[in-house]
Amino acid sequence: MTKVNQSAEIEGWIGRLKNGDLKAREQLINCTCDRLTSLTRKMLKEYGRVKRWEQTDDVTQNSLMRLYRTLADVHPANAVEFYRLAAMNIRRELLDLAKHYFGPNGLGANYASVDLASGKTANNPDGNAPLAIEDGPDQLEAWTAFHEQVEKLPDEEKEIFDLLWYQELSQANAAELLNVSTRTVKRRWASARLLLHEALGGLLPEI
Amino acid sequence: MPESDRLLDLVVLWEELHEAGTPVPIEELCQDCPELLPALRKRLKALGALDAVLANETNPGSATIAKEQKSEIEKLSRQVEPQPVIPGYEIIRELGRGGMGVVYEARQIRLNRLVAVKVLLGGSYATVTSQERFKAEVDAIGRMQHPNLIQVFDVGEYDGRVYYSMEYLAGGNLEDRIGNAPLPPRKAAEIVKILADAIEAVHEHGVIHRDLKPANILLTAADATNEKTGVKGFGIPKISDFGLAKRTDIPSGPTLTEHILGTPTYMAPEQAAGHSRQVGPATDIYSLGAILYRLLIGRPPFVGETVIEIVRQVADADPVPPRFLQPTIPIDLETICLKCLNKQPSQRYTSAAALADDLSRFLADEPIVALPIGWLGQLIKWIRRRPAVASLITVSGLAVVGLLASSWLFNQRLAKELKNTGDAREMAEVTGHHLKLALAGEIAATLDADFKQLEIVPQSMVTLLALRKNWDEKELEAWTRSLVKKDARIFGISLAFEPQQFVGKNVYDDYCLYVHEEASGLIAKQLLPPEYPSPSYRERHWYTAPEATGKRTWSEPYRGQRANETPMLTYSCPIVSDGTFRGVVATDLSIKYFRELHTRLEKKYLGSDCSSFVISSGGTFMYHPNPQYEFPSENSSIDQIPTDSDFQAIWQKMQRQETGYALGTDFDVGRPATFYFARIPSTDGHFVLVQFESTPPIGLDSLKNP
Repeated sequence: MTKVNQSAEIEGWIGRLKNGDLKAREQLINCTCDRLTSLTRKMLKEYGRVKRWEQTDDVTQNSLMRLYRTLADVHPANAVEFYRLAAMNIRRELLDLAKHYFGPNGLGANYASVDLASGKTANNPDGNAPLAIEDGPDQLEAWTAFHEQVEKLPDEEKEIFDLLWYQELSQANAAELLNVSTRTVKRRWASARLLLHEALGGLLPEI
Repeated sequence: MPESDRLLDLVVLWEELHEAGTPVPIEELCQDCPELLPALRKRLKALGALDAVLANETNPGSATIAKEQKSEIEKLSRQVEPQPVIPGYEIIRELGRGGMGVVYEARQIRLNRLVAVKVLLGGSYATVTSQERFKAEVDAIGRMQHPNLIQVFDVGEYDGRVYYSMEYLAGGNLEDRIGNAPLPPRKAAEIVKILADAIEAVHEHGVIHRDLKPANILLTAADATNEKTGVKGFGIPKISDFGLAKRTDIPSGPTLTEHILGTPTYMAPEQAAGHSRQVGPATDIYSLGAILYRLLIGRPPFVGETVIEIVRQVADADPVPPRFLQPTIPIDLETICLKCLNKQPSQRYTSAAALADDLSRFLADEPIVALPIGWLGQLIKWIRRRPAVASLITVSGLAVVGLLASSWLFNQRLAKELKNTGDAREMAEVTGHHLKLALAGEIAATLDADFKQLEIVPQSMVTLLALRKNWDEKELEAWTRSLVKKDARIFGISLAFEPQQFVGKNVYDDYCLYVHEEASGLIAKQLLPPEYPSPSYRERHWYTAPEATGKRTWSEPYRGQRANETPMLTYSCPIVSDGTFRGVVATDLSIKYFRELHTRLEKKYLGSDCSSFVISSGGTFMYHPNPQYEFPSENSSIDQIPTDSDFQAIWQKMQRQETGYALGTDFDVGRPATFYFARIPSTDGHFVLVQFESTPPIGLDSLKNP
């Protein structure tokens, strides 16, 4: 479903949630399911461990369940609030993901970043020796920092980031939702990215 | 203006120019402010680096990875994770892994016996929570000795990783052993009775398992028997995996309440709701009931495509009584099963021992303690959860209507049941009458839900079109294409405007974009002459109806001129801004979709004994058993009201009442029949008409028509 009619649909389900429609909670979750799965996989994509993919799905489901439970007590007033809640939930779950697998010390310290095609790593440039688990962390730590810094952005910038990146709305639709001009959305989006880059000190997740 | 604001404006301008395909060198942007050039360059560089990370990319998830790449990943995965070297053990192979640990088959060297060794994932980097849970698991198992609980032999640590060794059972697990086939009822009862005894021992030690499921029930070889602890031909079942076990004497930590713990399929409602304080022995009893259900039916009580769907059913839905699906299941065993599956913990067995006792009584052909709620009780329970259907009930003193999720066969069985209990034949037929009425309502309600969902697309388009007056034509077309593409039920969408109400690159007098499916793909065109002959789109019924009424309207079914004579329905919504009518959004829906939906509902509710039809307020059948039945064309007069006298009686009632019945003759062979009908509320007059093959019951005419 496109984001244009999704916002209208979300408003509809929010209304039904307020009226006690239990199915509304499930439908609201469906609106964020794809995005969360995609973001979770992006965080783990460097890992050549097939079982991690299975665990990705477990974590995704866990996150959706958390949001499902939250919606039992917290009723967003409108689509903007729902998007905010969903994005916050996604961020927190992704941060928990990092802590869950790698503990509080040295995130991912002992897992190699490996080129899947060649088996090469920074410590194993030939790619023909057994992989050693001694390379430094990068991906997961970088993504952890990324999400943490997004959480710390000023309200307007964080809101735009939530809508445009976590929820994948277009700039025009975000402008409609927030009742501002598209130009305002563009300014806030540019500001959000610049602030984020500065906060990360230039240490970005690899692509 | 502060410098930071000026720089931000320049960044936005640079991005806009790039998006428009007219990039400008930044030196040119800074012509009037060359002092800002270094800062601007730095910002754009930063944005470029960040945008590369933020850019959407093809999902590299497991569903899309090519097989070759996936196998490469698997190869590398095995290379990265060599088998552990645990002192005293020779690792043979990996048996499986879960969220917390990996289980290996191994040989304990000193005693030369096969064991299973479970190693905590993550080693010294495992989270504190994982380590604590692992220790809790070992602690839970280690405290208990029971022939039907997996025995732990040894606990240790190597290379900073914790592990424990336990019995190795050659029979696999219950999940794999039973597959999807139901077991004979007595065998199912024997297995669950043994498990209940074991769980009682677990509870006596102050532990709740919280994750009972067939996959966690391991089995010895099938020929290993023990009269008390095993099942002939099945082996000895042993409960394993206490990874989520909870000590009842230790309060739960905060992290345990955050996540759903356990497998939702076999999870108790209090677990599904995350109410950890309510989790107790009754939680495990529920899971045993769910396992019993699985053994009896071949599937769990609740199934769904997503975890959330299953959890919702666990929390809210009643399981289909086992005997509806497998009539040979003894009623006592069904009673025991449903008692375990009660949503309220206090209504289940008070202990696992009580459950085991009742199963023993069943196996000994003695009366059980649990009381059946009976067919009528189940109906009442079902109806109480469906207030819309409850409103159809009119029989005084007997709150019996509704249909459990099965077929018309159930109704026959119910009638027989009532006869067997001594109720009059007339009462049975009266009950059946109201069941059929409720049936019609249930089908109509399901179709109504689907119609309502279909209305969302055009309504949301109208909302945005009303808010925004200026559009880029390409953007509008792309948006419409994406909507048609993403919803298989939508055949086509028209965006039609009054003169000068659509402003794109020009101000248009005529603008009517139509995007629809064809065999070659999505086609977008303007419904204007000469391709779209007169009358103009502004004179077509799908435009004039909402214009005249100011309301959203459903059309009669017709053969679409716009769409190569495909039979369809159109849902039209007016676009109104500031009180001014600006145009219409019309969604074309293929009749084929409704036929398929209707057929599925018919099979689900009616089985093969009856037929039903959906008919419009103009008298057009959306589905007719006669393959020669012709839909009217788009522009023809659409009064198709049948004129035969039998149908007239039904038709008149359908105009006056939301739901009801009427006597007549069926469409196929002209036998006397009773028609039950109910409106689909959101569609302004489309009806569900249900036909039964039976002769009208005695005294039916004297019954009040709702």
